[in-house]
Amino acid sequence: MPGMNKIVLSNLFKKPATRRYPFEKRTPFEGGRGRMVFARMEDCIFCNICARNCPSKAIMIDKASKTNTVDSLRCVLCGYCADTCPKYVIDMVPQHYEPIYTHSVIAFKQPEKPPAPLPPKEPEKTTA
Amino acid sequence: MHDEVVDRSSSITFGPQHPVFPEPIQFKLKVVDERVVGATPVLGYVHRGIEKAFELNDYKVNPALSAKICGICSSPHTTAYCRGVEAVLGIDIPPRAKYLRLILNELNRLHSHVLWFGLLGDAVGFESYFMQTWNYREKIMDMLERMSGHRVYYAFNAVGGVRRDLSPALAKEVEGLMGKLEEDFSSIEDVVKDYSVKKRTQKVGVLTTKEAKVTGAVGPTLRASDVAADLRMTGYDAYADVKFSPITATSCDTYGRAVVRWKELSQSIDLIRQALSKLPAGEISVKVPPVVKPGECVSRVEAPRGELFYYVKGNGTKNLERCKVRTPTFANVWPAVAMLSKGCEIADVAVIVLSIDPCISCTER
Amino acid sequence: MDSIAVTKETLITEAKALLGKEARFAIATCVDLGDKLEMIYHFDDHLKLVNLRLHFGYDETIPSISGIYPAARLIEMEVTDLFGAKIEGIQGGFLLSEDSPKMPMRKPKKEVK
Repeated sequence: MPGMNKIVLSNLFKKPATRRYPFEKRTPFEGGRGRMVFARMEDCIFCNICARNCPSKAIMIDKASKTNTVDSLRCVLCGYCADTCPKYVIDMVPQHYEPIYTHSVIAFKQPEKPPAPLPPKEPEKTTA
Repeated sequence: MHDEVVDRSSSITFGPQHPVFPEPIQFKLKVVDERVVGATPVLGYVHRGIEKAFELNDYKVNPALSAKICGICSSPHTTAYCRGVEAVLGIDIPPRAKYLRLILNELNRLHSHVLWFGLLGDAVGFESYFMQTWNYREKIMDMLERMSGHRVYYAFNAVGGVRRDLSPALAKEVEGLMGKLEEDFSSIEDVVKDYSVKKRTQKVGVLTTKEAKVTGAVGPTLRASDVAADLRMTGYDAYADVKFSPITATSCDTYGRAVVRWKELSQSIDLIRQALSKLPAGEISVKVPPVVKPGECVSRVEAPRGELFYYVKGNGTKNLERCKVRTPTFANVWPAVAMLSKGCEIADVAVIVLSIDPCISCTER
Repeated sequence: MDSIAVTKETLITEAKALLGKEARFAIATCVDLGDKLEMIYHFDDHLKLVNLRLHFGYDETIPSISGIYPAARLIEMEVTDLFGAKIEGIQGGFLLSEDSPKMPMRKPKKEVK
């Protein structure tokens, strides 16, 4: 086997082809689907379209407490939530979900809106 | 004096756990004096009930489920499902989407055949070949990740077209990758020329032409028995616009199947180059209605392992009435049993079962 | 999708005719129509599809074509398991074990008020 002999001998002098994960992590390619995030929570209107379209029911929307949760063990990274959100709140980012020891969900809370400024005081009318 | 027929056979279980198989399948072998004379397949270790789950979801999110049937051949599954539903709805997808589906399916075929060559090397004891081919496969996986967003779960197809476009810069990189892969494959042509590999694979697992037709073989298993049947000749997607012809071999054994898959690697590289040179501009998807009208249709595509068959039936609601999946390994199990029953040695059982390219999670869904 | 309607009696003769034409057996699909079962046998005749459609009740026994096409044995075992169809000479226990739900692919019975 002349071809493989040459390759095997040259592999002896090269560095290994594998990466020593978790000490070296690889930078993912851009545009990759690693996890989903609610990137712009202030625009969310809690319409429930993302939760209804999720094939594995990984998203829970709670309008009362203004919190959305994602179950990272159920999410399959299909991206249907990002495609169907009417307000473009959801992004798929390349960084993958972290491994977890006990089951937990990732929560995203809508920030409180700052109170509207008071109208300016009317000047007092002086009676002549 | 009377003649007594003594049954001297014993039964050996070629169990669900075996280092050579990627997935669990069991064969109960009937053995007489070191020769195998019969086999019974026992399946059911990874049955997940996916055909029932297809009826519970909205039909537009079902490609996410059908891609999960198999990890190695996930893009033919989504292609076949989307083509079936598009035929029931009566919609036609834009030409650019057809070419993008062809490029994705051929890249998938490349990575699947390279994976099989690694497993063949592992089965005959050629471990360094296994490691080297899987290292070359990483280049293909990286390109698939840049194209679709994930190495294994390409959520690329949707009913009505595709979900991501191919930018001109990325198309040039795919073209460059084809040149690098040609050099890599020519440097490891040993598996089809080496003396030891030939001794382990020639005259092993013989399936004559007549047997292949009667037992229902598909894919490279059928083409290595000198039957020129390739579903891509029916001209679905953009295959009507590219030039190619089915690859056959006359030796009807495991070596013939290896030669067929080796030549299909070069054929896929050529098809991708042809498709990239003719890629038309335009849209990548069309709008689809919210419900599936009543009707039924069959769609078949050529997966790396053979003919993939989807039967789709709609009933006027947004859920499907029935979606039946028949994967190529399901059709190749009976030819494997026929090959095993011819008096092969026990050491050859692994090589014979591996030569049909078994994908058991596809078989049992 | 074109199909040829067959009955229990004509199924074997049609299958033998297709074997004479060197058609390949692709698969058999079983659908629960609500009041009866339907089996569609798909054959591939040189890249063209030929379909045979058979309707039968839940308790009727239909003949098996695995004597003519050995490849049909696996799918008949699967249909016996998942749909509870009765086919001559075929037993279940292929994909489901003894403690699995029985006949899971049948549609749930609609309540009649």
